[in-house]
Amino acid sequence: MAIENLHEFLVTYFTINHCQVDSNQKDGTLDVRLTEEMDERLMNRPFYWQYVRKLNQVGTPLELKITTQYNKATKDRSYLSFGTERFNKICHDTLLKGRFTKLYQSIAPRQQTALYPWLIINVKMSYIGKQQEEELRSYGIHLINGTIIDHAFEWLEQKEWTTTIPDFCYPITPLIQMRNGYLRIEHFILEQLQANQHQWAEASYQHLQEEIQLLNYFKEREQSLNEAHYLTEKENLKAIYQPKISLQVINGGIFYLAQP
Amino acid sequence: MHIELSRDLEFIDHLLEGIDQNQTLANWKHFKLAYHVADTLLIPRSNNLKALDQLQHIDFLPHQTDTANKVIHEMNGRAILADEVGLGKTIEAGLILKEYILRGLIKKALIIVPASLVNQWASELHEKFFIQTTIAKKKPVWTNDDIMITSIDLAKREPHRQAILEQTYDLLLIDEAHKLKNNKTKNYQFVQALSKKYCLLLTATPIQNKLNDVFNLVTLLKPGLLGDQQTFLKRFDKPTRDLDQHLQRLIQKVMVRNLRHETVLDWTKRHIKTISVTFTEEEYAFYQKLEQATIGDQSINKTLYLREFCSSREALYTTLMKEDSQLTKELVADLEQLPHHSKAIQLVELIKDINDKCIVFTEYRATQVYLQWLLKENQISSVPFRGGFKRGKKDWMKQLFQEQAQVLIATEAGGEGINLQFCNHLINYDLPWNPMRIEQRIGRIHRFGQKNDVHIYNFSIEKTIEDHVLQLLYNKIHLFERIIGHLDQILAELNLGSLEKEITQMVCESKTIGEMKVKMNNLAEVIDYAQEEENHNGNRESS
Repeated sequence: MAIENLHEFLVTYFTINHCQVDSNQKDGTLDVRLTEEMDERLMNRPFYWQYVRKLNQVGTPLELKITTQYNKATKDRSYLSFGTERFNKICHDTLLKGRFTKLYQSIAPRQQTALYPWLIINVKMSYIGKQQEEELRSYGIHLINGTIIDHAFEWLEQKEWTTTIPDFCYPITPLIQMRNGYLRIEHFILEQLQANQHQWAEASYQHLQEEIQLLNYFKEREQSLNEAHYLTEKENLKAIYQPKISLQVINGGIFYLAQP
Repeated sequence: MHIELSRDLEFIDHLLEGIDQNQTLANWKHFKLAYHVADTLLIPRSNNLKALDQLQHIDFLPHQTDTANKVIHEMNGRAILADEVGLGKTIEAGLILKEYILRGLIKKALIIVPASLVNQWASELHEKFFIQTTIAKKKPVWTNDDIMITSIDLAKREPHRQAILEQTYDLLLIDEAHKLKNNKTKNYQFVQALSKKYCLLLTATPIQNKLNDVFNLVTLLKPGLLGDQQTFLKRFDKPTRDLDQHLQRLIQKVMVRNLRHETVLDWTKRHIKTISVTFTEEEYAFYQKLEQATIGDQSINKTLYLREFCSSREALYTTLMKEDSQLTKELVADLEQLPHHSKAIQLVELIKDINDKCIVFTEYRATQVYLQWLLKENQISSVPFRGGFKRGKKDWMKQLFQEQAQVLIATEAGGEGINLQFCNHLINYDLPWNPMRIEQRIGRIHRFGQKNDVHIYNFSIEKTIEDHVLQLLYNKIHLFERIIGHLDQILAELNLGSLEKEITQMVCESKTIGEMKVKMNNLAEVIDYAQEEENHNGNRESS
């Protein structure tokens, strides 16, 4: 699910990063008392921190004043919205911090309970050609029996998670190695891709051929176009139209679940 | 068909490493937030612009978003943006650039703009679009993956030239691209040889008028679209309606041109006023002497002398001093006897009357200096503006004008690219003979962002060459009221080429003033007729 309320998102972001937040939803303003760590990550003043540490002193993290409403911005309160540099930085930071995980289902059983390992990955699929499209897919593989599921994240979201093993629980060691599990998921994705019709790619490829024909025609008749230039131009065309699919794992990790 | 596939080969290694070494791993909240962020940043399939959600503080005009959409989705990122002056080509280009950046399709880009506009581009992209750029200065690093803004003069110099040619750019953007219309020039060949994926050429000058220019610009974007040069020129040389339409269709594949009258924008009005100045007897006597002295002479200097004298004594003086003949010495001696220029005195009066910010345009540096001095004598604050100023100085002058001075005195070279919509009085102290340049001047203030009606004052000295050009030609063809757009096209259709040349020739070749007036009248009639014809056709097509 995409972020719908930027203000809420920011409050969550700073809160889970242990910053104190004073927020006024109506004005879109946020006063954030940064922690030392967050100051370093967001405020871009490495020399200050280097200096402070060298002198063995305690640094003072800044207070960040922002607003999500353009007309509420002042000299001391900067505008933050999708697309601003600071937002990009926050996104980058969020993606970095949320990239790898190992979590246990949070349950409170009365007796010894086994937790079964799953490898979960969230993958960004990009289909690039004349037109471009991206989607976020979430897959999971049961590391004991090899079952692969789609829409894994939605399933995980219905449960609660903790970073430590709950009492009376014991995790089962995977039978399938994680790396192997990853390759199986990848294989699964590729099979799905192969089974699909890719009209977008056909169209883009077609277009590439037409463009190259045009270029060839030009080359035959126009002396001013030398070989090197011709080749560059051809590469340029390929860079635009050659259909590509790219898989990029956004985040993932091992999840221990109570049900087998 | 082959689809390239790129897999993620790193993730699993990093994950295993992280788990093995007991590194800090994400808790559920961080993990979940990262998922939502990734989802937010996705590019959806719909043909919408992702950048629009991110730039909510900009009120884009419909034609601007349409243009960006068209360039990205139909033209696949290779286009000529040829909107009329003042419709926001930079905004369109910025929006396209932003969209591509968000889509992850542009990391490394080269933006080539006139040296005077480098800073303006950088600040506009940063402030409006949150796009970080690097300005090429003394030792630019061309190998970085970033968005570099440079002037062509810097870029084409070694060692930069070679370094740039070795790069592969995701996007090449060229402002004022009409300067690249000649494929024999070094600039053209340099740009042609650059390796680029997407390419945007920005120009306000309609390029339809010269076939060769059209061919060259389009060929930069899409070699082969118009075939090869020889066949193209042969085929389209004698335009017929069918051929012309065919050419238009081809060009429309790579060019977007929005015209003012088509946009929904509510343009403020232009009020045009001609201010007639009468020379004093002494001045007029000198003017006539100048005219007589040069009448037998076919050289181009005659018109130059006359035009300069209509501007200021100083302008003529500067030119005369460069030549060392009996005649010029005599003229200089006479010139030195003259008092203040009548036009300049009138200008002071006008500025006092306006009692608000105004821009004065003159063709001559010497006049600029003289006027500045004269205004100061009259307690009117002014700042000069010239094309030759360094970037920083230009920005500074603009700021001074906005915040302190009442008057900005600009020479022609100052016409391009500075935006002064906070001012709504423009004085043409003397007039260029190139109508496109007049539009460029007016475009400085009568542009998107102007909130008030625009007042344009044209000075003209009675019974001089200035008077003839203004009264007989410019006013007759309604140069100031209408937006120029079509004029260039009309001139091309009439096989007139440049108006400047036409007028100069007329003045030089005429034996008497009467003859010249008749010729000028004729020219005006022809242009006016063609314009009406065009309007008529245009109306018919659109109805």
